[in-house]
Amino acid sequence: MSLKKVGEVKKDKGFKIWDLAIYGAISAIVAVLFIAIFTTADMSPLNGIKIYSENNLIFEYDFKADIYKKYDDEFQGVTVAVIAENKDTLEINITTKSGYNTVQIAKSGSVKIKDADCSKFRKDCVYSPAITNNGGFIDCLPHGLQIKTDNFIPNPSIII
Amino acid sequence: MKKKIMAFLTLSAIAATFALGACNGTPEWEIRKFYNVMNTGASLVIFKDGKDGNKRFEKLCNQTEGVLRNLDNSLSVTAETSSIYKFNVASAGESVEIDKTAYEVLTVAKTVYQTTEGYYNPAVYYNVQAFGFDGGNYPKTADGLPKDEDIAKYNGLSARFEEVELKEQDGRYYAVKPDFSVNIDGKTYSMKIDLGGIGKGYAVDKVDALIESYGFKYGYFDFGSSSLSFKAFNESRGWDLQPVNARDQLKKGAYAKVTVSNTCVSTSGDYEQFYIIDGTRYCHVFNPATGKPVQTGIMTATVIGGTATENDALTTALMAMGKENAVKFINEKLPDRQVIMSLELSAGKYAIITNIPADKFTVLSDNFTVLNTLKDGKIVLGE
Repeated sequence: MSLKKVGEVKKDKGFKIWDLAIYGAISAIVAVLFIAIFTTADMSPLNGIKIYSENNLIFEYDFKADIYKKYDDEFQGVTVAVIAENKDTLEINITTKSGYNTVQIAKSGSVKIKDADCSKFRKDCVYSPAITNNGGFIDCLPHGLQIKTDNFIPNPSIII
Repeated sequence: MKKKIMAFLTLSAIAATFALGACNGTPEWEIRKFYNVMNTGASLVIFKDGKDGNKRFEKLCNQTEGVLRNLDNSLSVTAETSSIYKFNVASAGESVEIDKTAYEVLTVAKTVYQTTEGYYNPAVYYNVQAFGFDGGNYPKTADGLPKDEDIAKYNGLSARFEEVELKEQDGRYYAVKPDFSVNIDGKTYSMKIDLGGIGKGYAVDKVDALIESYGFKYGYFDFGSSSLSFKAFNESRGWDLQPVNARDQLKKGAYAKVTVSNTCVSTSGDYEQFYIIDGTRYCHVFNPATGKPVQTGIMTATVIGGTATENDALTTALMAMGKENAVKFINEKLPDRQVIMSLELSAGKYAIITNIPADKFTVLSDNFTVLNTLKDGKIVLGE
């Protein structure tokens, strides 16, 4: 770069007006997205959860009715076993061809993955925070397992 | 030794947990099937309670679909092949061959017509059409409403419903139309009937029997939210039936709660199909005495027990009777059924009349108050 060019750059302003406009626009978009995501997320108390294996519904639980439903007999290679249940907790083992996950449901309104047999360096699902509201989600990529919230499951109340 | 005791205790705890889990009566999962018949949604919800539940449910679904299709084929007022269509287009005095479904539904309709002294009358079809509740357009102004002299002529036809003669001969069924017609603007009219409402109840009774025959103990069948049959919710409880506040459609808030199981329920209301002209509400439930939509102040009537076919007719009749007559009818004719009626007293102020004891009935809305007390199971209205 010639000395003349260096001199021109030094004299130049740090930010040109269009640079500022672009930075401003990006900041505004980020702010809008941030607000939109946090204001539209469903933070209501958990109604029910559905567990999917490779996108197939294999288990669901309704917190209000305290009722669970297993669908594992419809899919080969998937078993869902209730390994413990009392008035506070329901624990299930989900075994697929890829491995197992132990899901712990607190009947007061939360669900988490307690254990899984994927590599000890991964286990992202085990370290994922428990789902406590209808905006939550847990994904176990190695086993193709997903826990989603859902309030579709009926309870004993029927409005006519 | 200590380890053995610990192992024994641990195994006992695990066994007890499983035993308790197995005994709590909670069904394993729910299966449901949706249908769309007679422009109405129907849903079958069943909780699996045995190893072959899938196969039984599949058979139940197929037969339920058959019941619903059969109902549509038999009672439709628009399908040219249906029994009721043939009856409606027949001339006065003509004998029409109908199928068994139409015969059975008409038999119940005639019985309830007599029991309710004509407050249930399926022959008000011309009135229903004249007020725009046959799928046509609702009138926008008072000028669009039918003329009183025309309504009077339609009433002349419906008043003869008792004269419909039903015959069974060599396994075939016939309905003979009353030999009476009226003339309006140069056109001859003979009786037309619509059994759509009571027909839903008939289907519910049939599906209820199917659920029973397949051995399912938990679940329900809902036909358009107006006719339902209930099994239990689980081993230890029934379903919490919550009639909707007819003036709070948007929120779908319920005004009361009663727990039901192994029973049939029907409900009628002035809120599903209606329009308002000059402050007057016109709904699809008709008072055969006036030939006009009911305006008795009764917003909804729900009947629990008995058969859904009868209940469908009874809820319509109760709305037409008005408060005092309905209470008298419930006390005298329906001692074996639970009845809930909601009434509009003034804007935002509503009342309930019921023969269900207070310990089995919960009021859910502050805007509703129970108007009556009970004496020996009979409704007693306050002053």
